[in-house]
Amino acid sequence: MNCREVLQEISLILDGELSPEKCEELKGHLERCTECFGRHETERLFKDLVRRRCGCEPAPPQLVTRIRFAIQVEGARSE
Amino acid sequence: MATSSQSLPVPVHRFEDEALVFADALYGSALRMTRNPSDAEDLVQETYLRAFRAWDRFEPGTNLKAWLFKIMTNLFISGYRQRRREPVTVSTDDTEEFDLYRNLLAHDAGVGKSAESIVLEGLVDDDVKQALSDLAENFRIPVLLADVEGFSYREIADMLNIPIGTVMSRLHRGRKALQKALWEKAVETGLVEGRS
Repeated sequence: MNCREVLQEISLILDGELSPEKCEELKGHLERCTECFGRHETERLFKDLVRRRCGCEPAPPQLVTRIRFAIQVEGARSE
Repeated sequence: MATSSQSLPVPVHRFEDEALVFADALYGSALRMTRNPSDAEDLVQETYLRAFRAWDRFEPGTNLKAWLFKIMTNLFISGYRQRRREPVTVSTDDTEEFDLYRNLLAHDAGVGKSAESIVLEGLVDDDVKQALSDLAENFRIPVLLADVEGFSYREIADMLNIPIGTVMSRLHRGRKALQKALWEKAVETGLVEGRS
């Protein structure tokens, strides 16, 4: 695997879309290549940042109450 | 209705138990989609109502979260967007050249800390949320579904009715655009020195 191929697959490995064999092959390259390792690390941290900073937005309690009510009304109507 | 009319009424409590645990995830994503708390609440509520009405079509054992997200994504694309007349596509051509790794390398991180951690950790939640919300919709939604919600390419393709290759290219371009926007934010807030 050369650097060009690895760069195209960094997203795939981080997104969990690579086969285990391909993952091993790619990891082998990352251990030997400083630049690809750095790019992989940057993408990994970036993906992690987006998940952590955007993934914590609790639904307002009044929304959940409204949904429960709407579903109960709908459920009663369909009986 | 084409489905069997003899089936028992859907037990409300079972739907609530199983589906309402995803309310936070749906609301968080609805906020990024609609960019407005009031529209986000409406979208989530409508999603749950639609899901409840279609509950007999949900296959137990399959991914309930993905099913709910598919309903919400389709509702958003077909309804909310049209109402708001938001442009569907905005070109991100100028972001294709942006290279976060190179930019970070050029930034002197000082002793003991990596440039990545200084720059990325220095950004506050609102910076990241705003940058994601500012992305054009055709890039914003795939990035949201993949990076925030952790859905697979196959699931995202199914939700958006687009080929997997399109999911991948939108993710690639969307992430680049987001990285560029966040880098510019880091320059603006003094986390890094601006250089062009």
